[in-house]
Amino acid sequence: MAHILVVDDEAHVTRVTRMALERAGHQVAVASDGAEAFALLEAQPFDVLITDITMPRLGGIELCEKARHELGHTNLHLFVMTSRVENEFRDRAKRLEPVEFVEKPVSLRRLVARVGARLETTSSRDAE
Amino acid sequence: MTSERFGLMVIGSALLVIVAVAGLLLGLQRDARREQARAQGVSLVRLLSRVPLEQLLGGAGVQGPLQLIKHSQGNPDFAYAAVVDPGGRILAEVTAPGAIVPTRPPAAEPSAWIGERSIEASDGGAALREFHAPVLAGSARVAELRMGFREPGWLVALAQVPLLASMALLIFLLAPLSYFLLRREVSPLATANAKIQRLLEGEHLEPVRIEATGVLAEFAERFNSLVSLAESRVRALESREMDLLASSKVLSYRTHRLEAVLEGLPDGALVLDETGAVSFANAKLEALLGVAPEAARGRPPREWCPDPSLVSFLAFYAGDGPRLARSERLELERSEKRLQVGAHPLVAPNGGPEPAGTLVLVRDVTAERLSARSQAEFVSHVAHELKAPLNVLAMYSETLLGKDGASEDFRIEACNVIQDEVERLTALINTMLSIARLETGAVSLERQRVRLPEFLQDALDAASRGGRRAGLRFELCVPREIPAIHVDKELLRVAVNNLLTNAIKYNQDAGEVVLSAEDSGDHITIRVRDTGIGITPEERGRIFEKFYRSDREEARRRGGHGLGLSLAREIVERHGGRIEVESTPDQGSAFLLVLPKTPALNQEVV
Repeated sequence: MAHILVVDDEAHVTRVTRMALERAGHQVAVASDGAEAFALLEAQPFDVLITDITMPRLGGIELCEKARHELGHTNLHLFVMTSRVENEFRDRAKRLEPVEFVEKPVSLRRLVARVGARLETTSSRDAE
Repeated sequence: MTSERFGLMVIGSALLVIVAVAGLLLGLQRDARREQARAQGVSLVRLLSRVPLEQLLGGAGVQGPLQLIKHSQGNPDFAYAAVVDPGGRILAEVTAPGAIVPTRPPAAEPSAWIGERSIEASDGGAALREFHAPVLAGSARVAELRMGFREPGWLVALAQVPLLASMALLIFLLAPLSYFLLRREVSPLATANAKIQRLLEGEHLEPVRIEATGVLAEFAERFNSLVSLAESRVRALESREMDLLASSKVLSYRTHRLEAVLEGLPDGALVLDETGAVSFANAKLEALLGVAPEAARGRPPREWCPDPSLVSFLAFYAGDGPRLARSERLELERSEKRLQVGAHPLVAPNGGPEPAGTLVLVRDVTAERLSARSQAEFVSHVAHELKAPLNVLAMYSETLLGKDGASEDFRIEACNVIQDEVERLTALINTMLSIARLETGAVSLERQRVRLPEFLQDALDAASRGGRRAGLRFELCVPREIPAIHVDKELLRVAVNNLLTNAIKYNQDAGEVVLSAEDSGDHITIRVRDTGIGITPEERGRIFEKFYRSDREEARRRGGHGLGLSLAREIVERHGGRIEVESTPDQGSAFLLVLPKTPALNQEVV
């Protein structure tokens, strides 16, 4: 079980994503933009951040950067949902390891599986 | 005049010659006479002085030798002969008529006994020359023999005048005669001279008529053949000159036409010759490369071209080495411009082995590249906009298939979401199609008569279905008598619908949307007013840009793809109208479609 924050300005997206992750046994919080998410990240620790890129107020990439650099969440796993393949976003996000890209349209089943796999490798590394 | 003077000079000099010759002859005549007289005198005196005195004197009545001399001598110059004693007394004398023996004592010294002397003329008589010799008896002088002769004067010489005169006259006559003969010979020459002078002053060369004979006639003939030769040469030269002029005109016309073509090209154009120097550069080059055509002409690119990559590119088309015979392209950045340079070797149609030069075209492809980029951006935006509803559809359908799909509530929710997203997709695709239709410009407007009251009522009904759920109030305000307009109904419906969608989307809770139309003279104005969040002055300039989205939170929260307003503007402009916006932030906005009543055909972009 892990603490997961899902951020998207489409309420429908956060709703079903949350449902899928909760069914997989995770504890899920949602936010509708970067600023709201940042407030939540400041308040409590999360293991995984799943975010859209284009959002009002604070975009997904900026949110990730702030989480890494301002809050010092170095172990936070980043999943960036994007329909944009522009290199500028990829290049900026790649510097924020560990980070994974989730191409839209998103398959919830695969997203849940990838989150699980990521958490597993981390926990096994921690066990060693 | 000159010839007259010449003639006078000839006559004058002939006269001078005659006088000189006559003088010379007279002098010679006189000298000869004098010499003759002297020789006679000397010989006679010597001869007679040998005769004994007694015999010389003779007796009375006896003819002495002196008498004999006097008679026998026919010499007209003879003046006298006398025998005088040493005291000077005359012993015997013979005189010519009118002559007297001058008195004088004989010379004393023996050395002067033989001699001669001149006696000055006296009393109208002639000058005399006297010869004297002693009459000796043994060695003593007993008497002196004197003989006088008149000096020959000019008169004597004049005795010869008839002969000289005829000779001189002959010479004198010869000179004018030859002069007049000469004149007669020369006069055709003078006429010819005057004619030639007129010929030189005139414009046309033509044969000169010279009436002459002999050499002069021959000369005239040769001269005339020279004139006709010169004339034919001049004609030939003139016609060659005309030909040259004509061909140079043709050439310059061709050159000018070529230059006009090159000048009229939309691109910058350069022509390099075989050496690589610029033989032509048009004016557009200056805007592209910043080089005035005059600065480039006649010089190789390395001397004027500011771009090193272009210089090395063009170097392949010049010089002694193997030159490129194919077209090449180069793209370069120059002062925020993207330039495409094409070099095309100029090969003559009859196919020489080497290109005769190179045509270089410089094209500003900034706009093309920008439009290609914006095209790419557009496609990426579209993909993003399409993927957003697709994403939701995929997620919901996947969830429906899972365990959550068993819940009745979720199934109903999912069906609603899916329906909304499908509508969203459809609207988006329709918008895209409208944009594509308008932007290709290939499709003309399908105008039809549209009555606004019904048309706007339908539009409002269609749009307000979603809005009523949010508690919005809708109002339609269209006068029944408003004139019908001729527009592309489907396009206008898209434009009005986009404005209504925005008015609903950006409205406040329990706000209102008013759709109205009014007749404003030449135009019909359709107005969509809302009581929404409004538009800030900064946004106002950008809201019609494609894909522009406000950064304000209250705007972003409402979603959208940023195409509605740009499409509405495109549609109304295609109809020859314009779109306007009036807005106060937080109080609402009004969008106006201003359409001309009569479609001005020339304003429509076909």
